[in-house]
Amino acid sequence: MKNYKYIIALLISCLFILPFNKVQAQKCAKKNYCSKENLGDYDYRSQSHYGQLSSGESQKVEIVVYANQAYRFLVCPDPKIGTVEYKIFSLKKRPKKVVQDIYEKEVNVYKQALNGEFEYDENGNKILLGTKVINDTIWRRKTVEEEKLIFDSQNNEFKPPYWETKTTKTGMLVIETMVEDSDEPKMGCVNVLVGRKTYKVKNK
Amino acid sequence: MRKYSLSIGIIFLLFGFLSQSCTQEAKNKSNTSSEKEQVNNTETQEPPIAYKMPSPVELFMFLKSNEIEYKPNSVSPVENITKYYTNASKAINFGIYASDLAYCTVFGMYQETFLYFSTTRTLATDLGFTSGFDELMVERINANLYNNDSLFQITNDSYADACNYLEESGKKDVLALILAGSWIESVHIIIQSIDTFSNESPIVIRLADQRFLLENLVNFFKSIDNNISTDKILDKLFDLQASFDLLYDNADNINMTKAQYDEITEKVEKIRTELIN
Repeated sequence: MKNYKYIIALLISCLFILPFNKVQAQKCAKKNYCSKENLGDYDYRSQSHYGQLSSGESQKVEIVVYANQAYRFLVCPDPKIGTVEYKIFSLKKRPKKVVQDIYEKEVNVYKQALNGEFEYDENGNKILLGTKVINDTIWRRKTVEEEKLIFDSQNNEFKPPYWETKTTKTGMLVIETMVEDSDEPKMGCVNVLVGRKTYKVKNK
Repeated sequence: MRKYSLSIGIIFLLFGFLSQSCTQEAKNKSNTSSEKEQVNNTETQEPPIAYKMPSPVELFMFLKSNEIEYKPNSVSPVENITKYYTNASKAINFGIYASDLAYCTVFGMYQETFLYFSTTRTLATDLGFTSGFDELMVERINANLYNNDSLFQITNDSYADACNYLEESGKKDVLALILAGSWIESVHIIIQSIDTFSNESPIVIRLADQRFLLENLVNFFKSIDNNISTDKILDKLFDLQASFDLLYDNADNINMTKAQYDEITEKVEKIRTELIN
């Protein structure tokens, strides 16, 4: 009887706890860990990222920045997970077409006239001369990436808790966030805010 | 005896719920452990990457600031909504209509804004999410129907809320299809806005810039668990990417050649026609 009660209690707990965890995970976007005064007049709706990280974990967010825009970046964690450092890299990608594999393939050889056109028999079929082995190349896309560090929060002491830039060309950036390791691992939201606004380019 | 049967019934009922929840938990656990493994590996390898793209609103604001006119024939007809039966076609066309909604809003087309908001809202409801398209948003739209700044804020909020909801609730396959539809439609609208090709045109340059967005879109598809619907779209995106990749070989002063422009235009329009029909 005691066991029966225990099982019921466990079942009921499971019913309540599991959906609660799922709901919790969905609410990072609704949590404002960044101080309003640091947001400025930027629009953060487009490429901000709201995720959960544990102690010792890191993540990267790859974004596209358009030319002639001003951007402000903030990384705001749930205070319970401790210090979160972040680095921003410019990212250059260059795709290359590389050989994935070369297969030997047997193909039919048909009789051709001097002008290259196929010749046909009385039934309208191409005239088979024999077979030959050719190389069939399978290509794949390989991307060569080059990351260049442009900001490191560890070198930002006594400065505003954000990083700003004005772009002249469209390109890609990577924001890497790292949660400090801890003996008592904790999980929490880490909000990576990417703010954007248009700025007028001054004519020379 | 009756009490006993009732208790058994409750246990079965609870177990039914529990098995559902625990399956999900087990799945979550296995996901977490694989993610954990990935993270542990990343001490020597790369950490997980989230791929992001600017919203179509930014693109349309750019078109407007370059004094490009609104072209009513560029948007997907709202009557087409009756053609979309599958969840995949609904998700793709939700993205397409969301882009059209942003286009109408940025260019101050009030009636079209309401029409496209209602259409995207219908598809959002069919797809099982209302984040960004709930009653509150409808009230906000109604109250600000002739206030362009407010409408712009509202539609921008709706799109961002919907994307955040889908990402956080694990519906990344649906989000991928929405982003693909939304991106294809916005590239289609840029193309429709180019009257005459010129390598120096800021609009052509912005079209060439779309290779960066396509890079992140394709990588987002690659980062999720794909199914038949996402695989089909990914194949189309791969083909388009092959054409955009050729731009990397251009000299510094060449953004896009006419031949490259024609090839990209043809592929975008072909994909878009397939998606809206």
